[in-house]
Amino acid sequence: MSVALPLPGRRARRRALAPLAVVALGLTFGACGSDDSGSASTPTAPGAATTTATAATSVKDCGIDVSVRKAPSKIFAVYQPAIELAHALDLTDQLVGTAYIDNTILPEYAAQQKGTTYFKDIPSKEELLKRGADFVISGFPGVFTAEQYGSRASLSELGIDSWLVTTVCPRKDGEDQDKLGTPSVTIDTVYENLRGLGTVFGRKAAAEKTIAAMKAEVAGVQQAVAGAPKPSVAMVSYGKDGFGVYGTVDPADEIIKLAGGTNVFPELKGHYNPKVGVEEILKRNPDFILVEACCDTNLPSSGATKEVAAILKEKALANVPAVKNRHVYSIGFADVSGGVRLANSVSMVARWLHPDRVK
Amino acid sequence: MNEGLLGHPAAKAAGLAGALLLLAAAAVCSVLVGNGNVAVRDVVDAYSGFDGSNVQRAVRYVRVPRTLVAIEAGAALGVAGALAQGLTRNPLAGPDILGVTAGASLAAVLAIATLGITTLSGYVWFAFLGAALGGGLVYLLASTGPTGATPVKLALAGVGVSAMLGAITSAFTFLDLDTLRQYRFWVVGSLNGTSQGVVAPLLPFVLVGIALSAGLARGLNVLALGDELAVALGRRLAWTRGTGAAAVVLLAGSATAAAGPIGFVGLTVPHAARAITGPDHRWLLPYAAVLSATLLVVADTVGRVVARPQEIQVGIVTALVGAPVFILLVRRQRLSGL
Repeated sequence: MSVALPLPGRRARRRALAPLAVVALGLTFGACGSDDSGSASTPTAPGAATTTATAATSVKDCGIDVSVRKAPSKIFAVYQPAIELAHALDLTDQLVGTAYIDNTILPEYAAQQKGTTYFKDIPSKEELLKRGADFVISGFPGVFTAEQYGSRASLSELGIDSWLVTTVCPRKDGEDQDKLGTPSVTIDTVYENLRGLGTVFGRKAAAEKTIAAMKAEVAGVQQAVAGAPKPSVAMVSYGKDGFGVYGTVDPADEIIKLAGGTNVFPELKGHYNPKVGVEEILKRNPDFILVEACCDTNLPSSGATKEVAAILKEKALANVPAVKNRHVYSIGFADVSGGVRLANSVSMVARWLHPDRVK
Repeated sequence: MNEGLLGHPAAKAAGLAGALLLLAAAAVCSVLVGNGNVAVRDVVDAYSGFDGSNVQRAVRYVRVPRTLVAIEAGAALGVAGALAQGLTRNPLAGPDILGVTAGASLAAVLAIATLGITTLSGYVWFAFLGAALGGGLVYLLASTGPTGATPVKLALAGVGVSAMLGAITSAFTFLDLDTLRQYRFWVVGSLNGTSQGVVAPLLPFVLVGIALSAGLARGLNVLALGDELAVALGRRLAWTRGTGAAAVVLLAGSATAAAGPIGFVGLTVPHAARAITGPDHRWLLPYAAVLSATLLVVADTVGRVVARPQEIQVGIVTALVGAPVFILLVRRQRLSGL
């Protein structure tokens, strides 16, 4: 007779150590004073333009001012987008912990990730404090709820600053992904996050380098698919309780669009992974079905083999072009979140949608 | 005990026929109404002249199997609930209250997660085992102490054990990343997934469960008079209880394997049935079966229609309807000693 359905990632945690930590972290925090080598606080860098505008001292993230760091940090990165963003920004050596990877880490960051302390599940707040973390980057808002590490404001009282990937800003600090604000899930949002984090951690150059690479990759795809007919795509999760739709508060819609397709569920906004029946898939009649592979450290994007097989066998869907033409593919859950993978996801989807144009 | 709304056997028979008509109407509605309506003609053609069109596929592979699962699981839950209430002489009993459903759900999750058993005909055995263990644990806990298994103690032990088992299922579901999505089904019952190939493998178990309970109807009536009188009348209490428990396990285990843990149906519908038929189990059991099936079919149809194109799990719909009824029942109980 269980009725309440907890959201993924929610877990109750004790907060008994909090008062102690205030003292401990206050000391740690206060002890730091030296300047970072990063560009953010060094407007006198050689070669800098004469218009030395005062460097930003803070960056807005989901409505919260995040101060530019003045010294190397002890970062705890939770969820794949956060972890890969940290590696992309060369913050690997500042990571005191990483947690909750949904799919195999991108190969370019595999070596970096190997050196970090990894938790399969999100560790307790006590663990976070024990590791001396003074910054939390998260890919989903559940971490910053009372059930886990507490709101970002409450963390900040403990001397722990935070960054939440802005594709999943809740309506207000402390709320979970069931109460998202207006999700902004374009690839530009990812660039903004890279720039924001780059500014906060003095890694602007690394941010720009990553953005440039992503932009080049997306531009290549855009050029290749320009003018091509746009097949329709359903991006879904699939299990014993039916289909769940992506592209509602996550970047699936953007990925499909940039890869030269159209989303068959354009209007289902505002809910996280809403459930639909088999009949709804039948009705939307997609040319492609991309089914989520989730979630394990060693689960590749192509890992949803069982789900793909089950959908291909579903008799009700036999006439749907995606099933008829065997255009059902596995995509990683991490590929559909707001991180540095997004360009990669666009290429991957474009290769399925337009195999003759995108290699 | 009060007599029901319908006194004369002929009236009860007519009422049962009416209930069956209601079920038939609900089933027709479930097939015709939904995400895009279907004409009667399409349903007929889907079976007499199948042409592979989308409408016919929707009828044949989605709507009809789904409706049949709802009928099967609903009937099983209704009979299991009426049996549980009769066996324990406890108006607050039901497979979901006595830890049977929660046990079945947890055992199925464990079988899938640890043994990799993914077929229905495979994990249904674990659902039975879990149902038996869950119900057994509740009965054991409630039986301790000089007063024995009183209705209130049974309900309390049942709610406690169900909460514990449910928590373990949830923990399993939400702690292990692999299982995050696959096992949501075992936390909230649902008919959203594929329903093909569900009814047939479970049918033998449900039929045996119903047959066993039919054989117990008289025994349950005698049991209602109290243990001493029942023994005096020559009833073998242990046999009645043992067979009854086996039937509850078969029925609730099958329903859970088919549709996940669905609450409140097995608890509340037998009360409605009793209000109509009075306490005679020979009438109560078939009424409970038909009315529960009807409720589940209607609840599933509602869940499919109210939030289109999204679907609300049937377990949530029955909880929304059933929870207030449960509270009403608890309030009507004279909870002496509390």
